[in-house]
Amino acid sequence: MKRYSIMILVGLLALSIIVSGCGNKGASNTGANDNEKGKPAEISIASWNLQADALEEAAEKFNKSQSEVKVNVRRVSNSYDSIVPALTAGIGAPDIVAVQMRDFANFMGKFPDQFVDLSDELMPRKDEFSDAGWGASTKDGKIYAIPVDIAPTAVYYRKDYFEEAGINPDNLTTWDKFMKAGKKLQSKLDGVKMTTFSLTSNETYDFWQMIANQLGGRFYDEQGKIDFTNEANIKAMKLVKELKEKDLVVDSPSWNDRVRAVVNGETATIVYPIWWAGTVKTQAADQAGKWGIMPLPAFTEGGPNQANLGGSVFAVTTQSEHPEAAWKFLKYLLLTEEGQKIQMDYGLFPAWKPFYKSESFATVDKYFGFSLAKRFSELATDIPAMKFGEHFYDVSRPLETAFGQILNGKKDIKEAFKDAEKAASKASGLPVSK
Amino acid sequence: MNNKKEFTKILVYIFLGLGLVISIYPFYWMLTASTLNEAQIFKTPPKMIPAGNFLDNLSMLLDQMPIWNGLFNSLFVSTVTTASIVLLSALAGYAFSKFHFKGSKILFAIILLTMMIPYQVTIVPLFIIMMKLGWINSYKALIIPYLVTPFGVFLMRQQMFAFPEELIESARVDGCSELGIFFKIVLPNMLPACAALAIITFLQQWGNFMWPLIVMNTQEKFTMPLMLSMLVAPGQVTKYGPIMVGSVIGIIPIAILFIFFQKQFVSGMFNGSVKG
Repeated sequence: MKRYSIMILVGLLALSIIVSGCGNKGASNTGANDNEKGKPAEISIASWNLQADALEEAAEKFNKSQSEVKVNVRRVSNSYDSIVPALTAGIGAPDIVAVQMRDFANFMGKFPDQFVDLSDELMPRKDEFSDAGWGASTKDGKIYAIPVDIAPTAVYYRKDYFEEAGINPDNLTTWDKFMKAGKKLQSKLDGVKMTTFSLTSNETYDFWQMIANQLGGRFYDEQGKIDFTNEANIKAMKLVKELKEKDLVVDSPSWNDRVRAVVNGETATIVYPIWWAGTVKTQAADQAGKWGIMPLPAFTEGGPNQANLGGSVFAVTTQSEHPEAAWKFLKYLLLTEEGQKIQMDYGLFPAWKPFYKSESFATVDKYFGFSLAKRFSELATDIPAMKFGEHFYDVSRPLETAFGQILNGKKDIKEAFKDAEKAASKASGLPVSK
Repeated sequence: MNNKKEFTKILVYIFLGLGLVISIYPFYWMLTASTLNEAQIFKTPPKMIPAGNFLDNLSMLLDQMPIWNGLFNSLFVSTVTTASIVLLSALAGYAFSKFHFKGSKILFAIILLTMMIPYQVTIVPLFIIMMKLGWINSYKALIIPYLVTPFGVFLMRQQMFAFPEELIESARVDGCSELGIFFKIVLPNMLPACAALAIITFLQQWGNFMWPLIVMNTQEKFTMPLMLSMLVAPGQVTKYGPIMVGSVIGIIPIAILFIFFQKQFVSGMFNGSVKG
């Protein structure tokens, strides 16, 4: 019996050597082919859905405009399931990958040698991009990813409700005024509340992040230690709590609940970035012309009122055989008006500021009755960068728990944040600030 | 006495009826929602009567995804792998149960051992193999790793034990070839087991998500589950009407399969659970 098992093991080993041997030959062959002169350098770029649609159009135009580089678009899911195995295996990754901004630092941590240093190209042009785009691209003073789109935030409000309640949106410059107006509105309109976000699920996080970002909130101090108990974070949470306690919020635990609240006219406002506009247009088509947009209220008169929620970056992988070609395409895509216009046509709000002056920004949106892009570009001038860090999920989960405890009334804000700091420190291995 | 029996019967039926309503409701809502427009889907109270937007939703879906390609890809891959798994598993199961050759126990043990390797562990090595063979984004990558499964071999082997040895012997005495015995005598008697394995396999392949997601990267090559999942992504509008239409299309083949093979479906599940 024993002899047979040994024979089989040896057989399997031999087989695996043969298979891997063949494979290696194959791989080196394709490399040689690409190096032949006259052939364009082929690169691939991986992204999902809408962005992939935009990239396909851009790649077609780019491929026609020159003969040195040929770009292919690969479609992947936004959960990175098809990119992670390739990065883990060290083979088969596309030349350029799209990553959501808040995930990229995590990628850098997991795959430290898989992304090309783009500092030489991007350092001199850093100021051309909105600060909000730099939340995750840098590490140790070097740049590893180029900001693609950002998502400036505003308050979407029902013009007809505001009119009926006699509220002038221009006067809602602080959250205190916003809450007072909310009380007034709710006393005049039955079955309507001032705003909506999640009070009972982990998605409370999204609303809190926008408010915290507005105040310059952060997860880490200058030394990279975990810092949840800074003033901005706490102030943001106080507002969340106050909105709840004053009964100004329709609870919407999930995305679909938020859509439902808007479609059924149960909320007068909703705080969300530019990408929410598409959803209102589609799912509340019959409310055309009824929605307006105003800046976030500030905490003090004239205080900061800009925030970002979302956005993505592109990174070049070190597996790429043609990193120069990849950079060439990125330059066309993100540092020229032509390339940016294609992305804009697909509804992506650019991180590259020189484009804000272009004609595309003046196009009036039929549903809203004004130019969305222009309005939002005015809200993207001073967004503070939010550093998400390599352990973002270890950091955000304890915060989500803390929000639940605070809104349940189980813990006060400081106490809950302190506990969250400890939990995040345990999960991520980072020390707590102070 | 009789009254009491009747009463418990009624209670049981009420309970079963409730269960039926609860399990059918999502399907009913899927069908209904596929005919509603976006605003109607989100209305409270929900609109429970179908409206006339099915074709609009379908054309919106076709704008986003080549769904007929997806249907073909899924049908093709699931059918080919199912046929291959049933045939090869039956052959292997037959050999393991009826032939007594040296090392058969160890070979079978190795096959069982591969069932214990978590699927996640095999992803990266399998991906590397596909990369080196240049099979990424081709049907080969979806079909060849699934030509035979240890579960199939295991199931068929257990089933074959019940087959009378005498029948095989007498065929052999009458001069039937070994393959002849298998195809003419054993296989026809094993059809219920084959049907059960076919159904289990087809369902698995039809719903297979992770592996196609990793190896396929152009839209025309996506299978149904990939297409449906990619209709939802952060930062873009989720249109529920088209998603519901896609779900309806995706469920039709399974529904047909279930209606035709209902009996084997249930018996197959019991067979697997008792003999396993």
